[in-house]
Amino acid sequence: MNWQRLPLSVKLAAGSALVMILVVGGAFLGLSLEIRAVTKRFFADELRRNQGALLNLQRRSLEQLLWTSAILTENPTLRAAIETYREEIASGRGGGGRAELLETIGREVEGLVAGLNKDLLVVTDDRGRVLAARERGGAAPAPGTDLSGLTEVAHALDPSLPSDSSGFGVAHFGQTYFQAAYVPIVLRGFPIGVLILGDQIDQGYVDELRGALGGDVVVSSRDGILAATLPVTVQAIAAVDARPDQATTVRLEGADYVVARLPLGIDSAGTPVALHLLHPLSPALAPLNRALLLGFVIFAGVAVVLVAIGAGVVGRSLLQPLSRFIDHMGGMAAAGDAAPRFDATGAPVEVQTLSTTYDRLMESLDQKERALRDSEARLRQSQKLEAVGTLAGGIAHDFNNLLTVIISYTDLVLRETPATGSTREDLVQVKEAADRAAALTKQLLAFSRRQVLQPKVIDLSQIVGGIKSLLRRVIGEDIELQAVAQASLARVKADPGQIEQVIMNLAVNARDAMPNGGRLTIETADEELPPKDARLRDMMTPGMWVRLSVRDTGVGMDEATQARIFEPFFTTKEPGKGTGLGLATVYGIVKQSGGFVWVSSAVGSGTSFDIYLPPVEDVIAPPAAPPPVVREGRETVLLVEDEQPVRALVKRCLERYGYKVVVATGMPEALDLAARHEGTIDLLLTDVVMPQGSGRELAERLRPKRPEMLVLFMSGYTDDAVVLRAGLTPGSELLEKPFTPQGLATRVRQVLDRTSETDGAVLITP
Amino acid sequence: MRTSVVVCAAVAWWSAGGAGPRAEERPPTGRLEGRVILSRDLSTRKPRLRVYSEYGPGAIPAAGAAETSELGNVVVYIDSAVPGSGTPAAPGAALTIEQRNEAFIPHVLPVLVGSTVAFPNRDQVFHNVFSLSSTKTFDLGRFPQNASKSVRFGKAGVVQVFCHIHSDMSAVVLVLPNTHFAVPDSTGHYVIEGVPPGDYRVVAWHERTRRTLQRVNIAAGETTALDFNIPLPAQQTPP
Repeated sequence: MNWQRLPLSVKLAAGSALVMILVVGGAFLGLSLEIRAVTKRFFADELRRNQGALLNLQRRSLEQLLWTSAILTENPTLRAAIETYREEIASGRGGGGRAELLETIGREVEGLVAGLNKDLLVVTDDRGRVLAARERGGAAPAPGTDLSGLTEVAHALDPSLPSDSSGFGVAHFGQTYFQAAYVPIVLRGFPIGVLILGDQIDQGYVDELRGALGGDVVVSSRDGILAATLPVTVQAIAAVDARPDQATTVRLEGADYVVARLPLGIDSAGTPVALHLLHPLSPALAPLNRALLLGFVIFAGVAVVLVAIGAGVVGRSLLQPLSRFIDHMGGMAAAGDAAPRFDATGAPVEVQTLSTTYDRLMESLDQKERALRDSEARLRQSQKLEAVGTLAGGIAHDFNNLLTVIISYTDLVLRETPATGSTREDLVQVKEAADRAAALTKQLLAFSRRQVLQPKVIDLSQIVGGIKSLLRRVIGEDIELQAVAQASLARVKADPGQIEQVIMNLAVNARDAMPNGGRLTIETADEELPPKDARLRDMMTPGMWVRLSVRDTGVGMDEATQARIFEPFFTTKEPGKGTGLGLATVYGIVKQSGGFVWVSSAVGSGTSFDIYLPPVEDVIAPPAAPPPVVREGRETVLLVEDEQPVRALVKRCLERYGYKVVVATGMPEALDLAARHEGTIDLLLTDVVMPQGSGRELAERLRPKRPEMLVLFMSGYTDDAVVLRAGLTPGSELLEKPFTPQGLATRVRQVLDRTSETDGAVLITP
Repeated sequence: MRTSVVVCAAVAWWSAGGAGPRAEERPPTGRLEGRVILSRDLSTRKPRLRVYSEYGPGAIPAAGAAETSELGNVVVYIDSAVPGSGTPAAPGAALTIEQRNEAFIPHVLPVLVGSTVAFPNRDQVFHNVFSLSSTKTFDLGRFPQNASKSVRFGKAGVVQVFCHIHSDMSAVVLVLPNTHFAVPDSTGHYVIEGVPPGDYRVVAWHERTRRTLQRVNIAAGETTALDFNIPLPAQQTPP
C-alpha cells in the first residue's frame, strides 16, 4: 500500500483525523497533567491535614499510656513496699533490703501487668535501679540493672523537673523496642521511683496502628526499620526525614505517598525513633484518571468522527468537481479545441474560478495563435512583395538606361527630320512605344519603392476634391461617386501626384469590379487607433493616423485573391485589359510614404481599401512655380559616366545647349582631367554607381581642389539606400534616369543658377 | 487483737506518765542546743501527674505550706546509750497521728520505745493504716471517721506508715530508745534538756536523707551547741 498513491480525499480524511487525535491527545495530556498535579496537591494537603489529626490521636494514645502509668503508680502497696524498701536500705537495717519487700513489689507488678494489655512494666527505685520488671518476650532487664542513664528515667527522678506529659520514650532492651511511658512514682512530692510501661514495637503494633489510622505505618530508627506495614528501606525513610517540610509526597515502591512523621523519642543508643504515617495517593487519583481517560476517549472519538464527516463533505464539494475538471481537461487534450466548456455549475467557487481562468487562458491562447498566424501571413506577403520588388527594380534600372538612349536619340533624330514624311511617322511610333515602356518601368519602380518621390505637405481632402471630376469621367455613368472628405483634415507628407495616381488606380479597379453599376465611396478622416487595434495591425503604432478609404459595392474578392492583389503582374482582368501593376504601385507608393494599406473584402459584398498615412504638423507649401524656359549656358561641365551610350548622349545634349563638356569614363580619369584642366569647372555631372569609385567619392575628392564646383548626380537605380550611401551634400542634386535632353538641360541650368526649389528630379514623363 | 493493743497502749501511757516526776531527782545534766539547716533540695517537690482534672470530695491534696517546711519532719536525737534512761519517759501528751485531709498529721512522730500511738480518723472517708516496716509490721484495716486504732511500738527503729486507700498518705513513726530527742521549731532551733554528761552520738534524722551524725560531749550544767546541715556532704556521712 503506497501512501503517496492514495487519493487526495483519503489523505485529507486520514490526515485530519490524525491531526485531530494529536491535538485532542495533546490537550488531554496537558489537561490531565495539570488536573493530576492540582488534585495531587489537593489530596496531599487533605491527607496531610488528616494525618495531623491522626497523629494527634496517636499522641493522645501515647498520653493514655502515660495516664495508665500514672494510675499504676498510685498502687499503695507498691509505694509502701518501695518506700519501705528504700528506707530500710538507707538505714542499713533489715539486712540490706528484705526479700519479702522485693517479693511484694514483684507480686504487685505481676498483678498490674496481668490486668493490662501491655508488653513491658518496669519499676525502679529512686536511683534508677530496677526493682522489678515484667516483659512478655522475656527481654526485661534484670533486677538491680541501673537505668539511671536513660534520659527519661533521669528526667523522671529529678525532683526539680515537673511531671508532665512528655515522658515518652523508646525503651530498648536487647533487640526489642518498646514504645514506653516513663512516669515518676511520687510520694508527697518526692520521687521514690520510676514506672516504665511500654508496648512492644513489632508487627502487631504497626498492624494495629494501620487499622486505627487507615494508613501504612513505618517505625524507624536511624539504623533501621523497627516495624513496617509495607516494604520500605531505611534509606527511603531517611530521605523523607531529610526534608520533612518540603516533601509533600514521597515515592516509595513506585507509588506516591503522603508522609507524616511523629517522633517517638530517643532510644537507648541515642538515635531518634519516629513513626511515619503513609497514605498512598494513587487510590485517590485512580477514579480521576479513569474519568479523564473516559473523557479523552469520548472526545477523541467524537472529534475523529466529525473530522471524517468534514473531510467527506470537503471531498464531495471540492474534490469531486476538481476531478471532473481534471477529466474534462484530459478530454480536451485528447479531442483538441473542439471540446465543450467545462460545466462548473454547483462546484465550489475555487473550482469555478479555476475553470473560468482556464477558459480565459485558452481563449487568450487562441487569440495569440490567430494573431501569430496573421502576422506570419503578412510577413510572408511583404517578403514576397519585397523580393518581387527587388527583381522588378533591377529590370527597370536596365530598361531605364536603354530607354534613355532610345528616347533621347529618337528625339534628336526627330528634330532633324522633316515634319512630313513616312520616316517621321515611324520615328513617332518608336517614340510613343518607348514612352509607354518608360511609363511601365516607372510603375515597376513605384511598386519597388525605388522611384524618387517629391513629397510635400498636403491635405488629402483637397487632393480628393481636385481629382473628383477626373474620376467621374473614368468610372462612367453607371457608378455613383460619393466623396466624403473631412474638412480640416490633418496634413500628411506625400507626393501629391503619386497620391492622385493611387486614387486613380483604386478607382479604376473599383470600376472594373462594378460592371453593372454601384457606388464608389472615397473617404478621408482622422482616425485614432487604440492600442488594441494597433496590435492587430501589427506594424502600425497606436495613435493618430489619416485615413483614405476607397470602397466599392462590387463583386468583392475571396481570400486567396486578397492574399495576392499587391503582387505585380497579378491580375484577374482579361488579358490586355490590365497590367497587373495597379495595386502593386499603390502598395509601393503607400509604403514609400510611410503608410499602410489594408484591404477588406468578401465575395458579393464589395471591397474596401483603407490607406493610413502618418499625420504631420507642417504647413502646406505654396504651389510650385511653372517650369521655367530652358535656357542655354556657357559653363564648363565635367561629365563622368561609365556607360558609353549614355555618356555620348549626355555630352551631345549639353553641347547642344552651349555647355563646354569635359568627359571622363570613371573616377581616375575624372581626377586626372580635373587636375589638368585649366580654368573653372562649374559643374560635376556624374553617375552614382560606377565600377571604379562612386560618384559620391569622386565629388568629395574634388571638392577641396575646386570648392566652387557644383555637383549633379545621375542615377537610374534610385534606391533609398543608394541615396543614403551617396549622401547628397548641400549643393548636390540628383538627376533621375531616364531623362529627356530637355529635362537634363533644365536640371543642369537649375543647379547652376541655384534656382532649384525642389531637391528632387524633374519628371521625365513626356 | 485490737482490744489487747489498746490495752497495752493505755498501760504504757500510764506507766510513762507515772515515771515523769522521778526524773527530776537525777544528777545534774547538760543541755544540747542548736540549729538545723535544711538544704533547699528537701524543700523541692515534684508534683504528681494529675490524671484527673477535677478532684472529688476527700481528694483534696495536702496543703503546700506543710510541704515546704520540712523542719517539722526532722528529728534530732541522741543515738548512744544514755545512762539512766532505761525506763521510758512518760509522755506529756497523748501520742496520736491523725488522718486529716488525706494526710497523716504529724508526718513524723518520734516516740520512746514501748509507746502506743493512736491513729484517729478525722476524715469523712475510710482509711486503712498499715506498715510494711520490719520494725513494726501492722495493718489496722479500714476504719471510718472518728474511729481510732492504736499501735504499740515495742522496738526501736523506723516505722513507715501508709494508707492502703490513699497512696500519697505517708507517716513515719520514729521509735527511739531514749527520750533525748527534739523536733526543731519553725526556725530550725532545737533544745534537748537533761542530758547526762558524757560523749554521745547525735543524729539529725530526715526520712529522705541518710542519718546526719555528729559526736558531742555534754558537760553537766552546761549548754552544748550543735548545728546540723542536712544533708551533709556525702563523704562525711558514715555508712
